[in-house]
Amino acid sequence: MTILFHEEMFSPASKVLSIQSHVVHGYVGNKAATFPLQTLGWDVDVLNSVNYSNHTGYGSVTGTMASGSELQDIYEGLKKIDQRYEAILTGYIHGADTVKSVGKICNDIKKKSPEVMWLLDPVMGDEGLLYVSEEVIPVYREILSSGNVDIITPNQFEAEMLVEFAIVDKQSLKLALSTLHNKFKVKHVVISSLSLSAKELEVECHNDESLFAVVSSFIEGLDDCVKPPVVLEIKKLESYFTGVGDLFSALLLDRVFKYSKEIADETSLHSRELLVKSTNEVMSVMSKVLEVTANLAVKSLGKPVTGKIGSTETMKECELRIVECRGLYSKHHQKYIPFELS
Amino acid sequence: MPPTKQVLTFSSHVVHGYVGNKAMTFPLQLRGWDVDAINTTNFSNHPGYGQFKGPKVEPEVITEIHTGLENIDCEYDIILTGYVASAQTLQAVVQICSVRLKRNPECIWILDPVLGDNGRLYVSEDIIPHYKDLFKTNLVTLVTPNQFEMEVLTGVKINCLDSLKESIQKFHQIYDVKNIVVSSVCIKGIDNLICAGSTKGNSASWCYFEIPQLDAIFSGSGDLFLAILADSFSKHRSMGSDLEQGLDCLLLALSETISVVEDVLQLSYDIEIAKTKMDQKFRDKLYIPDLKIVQSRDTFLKPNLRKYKATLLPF
Repeated sequence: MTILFHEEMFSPASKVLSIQSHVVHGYVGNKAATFPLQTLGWDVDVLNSVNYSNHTGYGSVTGTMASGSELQDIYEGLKKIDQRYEAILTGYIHGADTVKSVGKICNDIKKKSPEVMWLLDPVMGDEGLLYVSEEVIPVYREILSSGNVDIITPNQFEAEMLVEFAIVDKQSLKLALSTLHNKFKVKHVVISSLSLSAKELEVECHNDESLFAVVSSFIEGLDDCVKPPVVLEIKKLESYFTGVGDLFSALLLDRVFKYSKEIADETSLHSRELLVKSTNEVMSVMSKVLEVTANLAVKSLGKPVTGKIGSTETMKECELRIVECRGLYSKHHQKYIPFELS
Repeated sequence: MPPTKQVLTFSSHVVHGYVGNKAMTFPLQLRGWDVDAINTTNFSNHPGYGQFKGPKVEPEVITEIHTGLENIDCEYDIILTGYVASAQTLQAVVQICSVRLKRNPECIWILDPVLGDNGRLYVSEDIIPHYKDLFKTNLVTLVTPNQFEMEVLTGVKINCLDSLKESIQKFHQIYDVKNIVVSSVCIKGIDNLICAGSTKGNSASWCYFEIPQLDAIFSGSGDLFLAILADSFSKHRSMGSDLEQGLDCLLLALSETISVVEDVLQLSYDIEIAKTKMDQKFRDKLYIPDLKIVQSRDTFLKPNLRKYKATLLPF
């Protein structure tokens, strides 16, 4: 380990409020987000929406969920001691009532300090499968319509749920993005995984097995115009690893926040390039984290990890190696070639 | 990179700030531990702020969450326990740990018996006999009371090195805990804080370190001390071929722990001074509510280890 942080030693840590789940064992939600953000110099205020023994993928889980009013009560406590944040991170929240409360909390923060950066991961499901109650979907639409959310990181399915149509080709993708920007007033959209073929997207592609990450920014002051989205061809992320989306959102928040600070004229055309660079870096870190995780899982199991459903032992080995990867989160390498979807 | 080790912690959770599990988790993770943290509270912040919101976690819920860990076969190298709010919760934790330790003799339990400080109890009195009963068993490998807690546990008032020695001897007589560290003792005539350690059994001696004292009061320093000591103790213990190596292991662990904690406190102090410019009219001592845990990450990764001179004394 040779990470040295001396130059930052006396600069105050940036402060983020992260509202997600807590699991005692394993790395999803706040457990996946907190440690990487702390290694990157963030003071993380950790508001737990659930207290579970482990994530639900194991098939057995124990613990409790916080109600919306409990979360708001704890937030009142934070207000009373005058806590202020530079960023808010919200991810998986279990029910409509709780999502509503999280919306209220974050809107309250934004009302007082509009400059706070809010990254919302609208966790609802994946690959056609909803894993929250259906009532959650309109609550997310309402939250987004407030115009307070700066960045969202839906997967393809979640983006489709929000805009209420399927993304099947380049045209519907572009329509979905402009809907998210214009109707829901979201400045930055990163669709973390899009499974369209190169042909459907009308792009050249190097590998048939690839997925795409889509990056799109809203350009303020140009008559609500959206610059063409940028696509990164990424290796298919093995979906049997859990917590991948949570780590992605946390790292993306870090990069976008830091690069936004570096660019003085942030509202200008730089906005999309900043987001592309951030996404590229984070995707590059993610691929390394997944490689470390897969290698250690294989080493420990003595065989390749083959499927999502398996024994408890297999599930445990599919937890991200968040601690082992502690030297990776700050890397700035960009391994993907972005191309514009004009 | 050495393989990641597993620790199960029982302590408080605060959304903001660094006490309990929030103070222990990040340093342990940076030092290569997977930290499975069972939260005994879900507070907005610690009570040192004068107000806080949020619930305590009921003992039944703690037991239930732990059952979930049993269901997925989690095993640990260390169990760490810090602030436990009530006698009922302590009973639940003891029940959990005794089952684990009987099943897995490799696992060790390191415990901070949080009762209070500076002559004041912060827990209800009825928890004390439960700690006393626990220490009469051999379940706990290392215990870290402060001066006040040591006085409560042994009934010996500590006001000089002799009475400190006497309290340690008494502790060994009454209880069956192999290693004890008395984390911070103030003695008239000595400017520095005293931190004492002793291992029961083959070594008939005890040691103490003198630590320069900062003119400030910190919240969370005991929790940080516990976490760093647990990591160092576990490391030095596993490096020795013989697990019964007496005071040496504790001495090395203490020396490392004192270096790390001192640097974190110093940095927290420096940052606080720079921020407040000593605008602390209402307290005679500077109060630092939040340790600068995140800013201290270098210290956790590459501690600047100093050779503290330990004074070794016979009983």
